[in-house]
Amino acid sequence: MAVWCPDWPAVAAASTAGLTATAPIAVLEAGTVQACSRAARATGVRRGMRKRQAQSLCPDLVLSDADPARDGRLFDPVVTAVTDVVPLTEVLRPGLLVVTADRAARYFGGEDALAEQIVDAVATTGVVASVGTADELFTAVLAARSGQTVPPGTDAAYLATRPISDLTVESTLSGPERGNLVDLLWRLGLRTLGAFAELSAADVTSRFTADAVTAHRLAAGMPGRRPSRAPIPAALEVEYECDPPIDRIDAAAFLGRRLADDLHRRLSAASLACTRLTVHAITERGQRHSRTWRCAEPLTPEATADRVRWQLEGWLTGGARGGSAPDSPIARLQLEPVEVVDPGTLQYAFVGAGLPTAVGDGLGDRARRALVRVQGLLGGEAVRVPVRSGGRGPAEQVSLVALGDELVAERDPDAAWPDRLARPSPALLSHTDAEVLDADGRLVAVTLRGAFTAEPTDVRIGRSLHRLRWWAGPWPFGSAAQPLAVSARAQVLLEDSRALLLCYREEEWTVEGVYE
Amino acid sequence: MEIEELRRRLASMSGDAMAETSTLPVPEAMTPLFPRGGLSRGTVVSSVGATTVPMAIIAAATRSGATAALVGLPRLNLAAAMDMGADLSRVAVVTEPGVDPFEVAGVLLDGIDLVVLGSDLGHGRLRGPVTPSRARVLAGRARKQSSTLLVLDDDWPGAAVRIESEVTDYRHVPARRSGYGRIGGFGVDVQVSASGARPSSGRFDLVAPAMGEGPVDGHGGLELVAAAGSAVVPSRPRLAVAN
Repeated sequence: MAVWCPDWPAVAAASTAGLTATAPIAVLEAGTVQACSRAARATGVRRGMRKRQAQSLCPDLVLSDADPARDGRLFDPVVTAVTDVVPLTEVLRPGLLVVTADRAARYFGGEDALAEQIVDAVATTGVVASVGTADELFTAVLAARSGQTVPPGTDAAYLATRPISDLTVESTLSGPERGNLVDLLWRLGLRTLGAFAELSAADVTSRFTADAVTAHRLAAGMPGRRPSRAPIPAALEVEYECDPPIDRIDAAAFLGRRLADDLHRRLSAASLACTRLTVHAITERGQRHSRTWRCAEPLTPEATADRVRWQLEGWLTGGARGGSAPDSPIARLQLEPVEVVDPGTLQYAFVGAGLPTAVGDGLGDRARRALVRVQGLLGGEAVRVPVRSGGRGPAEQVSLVALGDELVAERDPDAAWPDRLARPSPALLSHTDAEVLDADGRLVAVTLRGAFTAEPTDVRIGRSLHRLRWWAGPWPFGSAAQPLAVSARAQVLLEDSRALLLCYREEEWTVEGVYE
Repeated sequence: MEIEELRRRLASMSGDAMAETSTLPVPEAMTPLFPRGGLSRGTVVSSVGATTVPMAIIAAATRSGATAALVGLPRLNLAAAMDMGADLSRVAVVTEPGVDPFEVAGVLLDGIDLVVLGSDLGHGRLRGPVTPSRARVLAGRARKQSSTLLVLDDDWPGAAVRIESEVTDYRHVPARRSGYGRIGGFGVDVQVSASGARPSSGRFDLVAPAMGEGPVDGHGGLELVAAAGSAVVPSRPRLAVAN
């Protein structure tokens, strides 16, 4: 059974802006409409529309930027309301949750009665929800959009008449390339899910990507591939005693990040991946707040940290919006992997993202052990590993990352760096102040047009004056920090036969590198 | 030698591919200078003079799969090493080794194939000279773990091999004329003196292919090649840059 809150990002944005849900509002992501309220849709605003187009259709449209954290935070009271009815809920994403309805339906006297209970419970939080019931998760999510109940065993018949574009309806159940797939199927003349399901699985497998195979199974209403339930070693749980107890959101977010890293270290040590995670927060007085998150792809440390943050933020700020707030600061946090899968059973496509990236790098175990010992001697930041980075100057083309952190270059190395210094790069870096002088002993600067104010003849470094045998440049380069200031580099060859790279920034020369 | 043989067998049993060779590779053009065609594992090597030479050694070693750690060398430009084809994923950097850089270098010798020791302590302070006793301890540690210690800009007591290098002349592309062109490479004189062998020397050129621009692929394209007319190895034709 799926519980769907329509246009959740728009609803969340409206409630933060203090508007009612009937106001026309649209949530923008990268300049296109990601979600919009019913009122906006009535005027013709659609998902994927450009901002300008949406505004021309609906002049009093309220715009808001996409903010996943806001969506997650505001969805928390809704989840609380549903868990009061059915204790076992799984959140697919903010705005959509699924409930295993079989036992609860028997308790409440039928699926319709249960659906009513859930809709009423959600309505108390001031949110409109619709419920769909079906055998399979995907079918239930589709049915929820029209509030239908699909009788048991008729999933395939229900799906057969649905348009093919339904495959892209739910982003959490589709791969990144699903849109292209639907487009292709449409051009192939397959207009309904039924037509797609009639293709033989072997043909789909041999002609399309792994995501298409998943889509084909969904369209046929086949049981979803259940993650193989590996028994969970008890040692996977991560527990943290907060001292001092936390009652501030930023502290909670910081802690969530730490715990997530910790959990993933343990998981990877046990060579498991987590697809369902329960986060428990326990206050000083023993109040407990638990939430289960489910993901189609195994949770990454970042995704885990995000979910912990959403939950804690939602709970800590719940009191302000009439929800339930903790009665005292949070004293204990627990991350409990509910469902772990053996990563070996996860099928990664050979194409595109999803290929597991190599975790290890060129440093073997022996080297790592030695480096970690040095970290123990000098602190974690002392040992760093270089990453190729983007940049114009010699010092910017390699950025150093502390050993154990994620290897992320500061700037994109593959971007175009048009004013990049030509090779060879100087072997030694330096940050010595210098003065460039002309024949009369006046300081030489660089003009706005990228030329020397006079021909340089000498360079003063510290106290000593060096005569130039050769000079070249200046080569101006842009900098994002000061787009209007003049910055340039120049090469000079001193009489004592060392060649230097000089850099001119903010009307000061520095020696940036030594060619030797 | 029997010990070599045993060491090789041990290494092949432990599956460490790098330890099977008894030398760390140096740039191809420089192999004739070294008594064993490379830096012997388990020894201490000192290098004085032009930084490009140790840089090329780091590049050649990491490219062949050895790991390298740079201690107290904040001024070393790793972008230049990358252009020479260094594999940065096998490099670790300790820019500020604190008060006792020798201790740090000793710990690293346990697990890293090539430990490069500079003289910077960070914050503009330099370390003092090493005492002969400390030098002996470090040499013993390198020998025991069959890793190599490369000391830069320091007369290290008891170094098995000394490399002295000096920049001779700069090459300008397209030609040396003030205000035009840029530096396209330079020549270095390298002299290697090993204990118990005659010193050998050679002249090399650092050349940048084409115009020194374009993407860096697996091999950065910069390399030290033997200079024309060098006595060590017959020279190879070099691409002259036409502008």
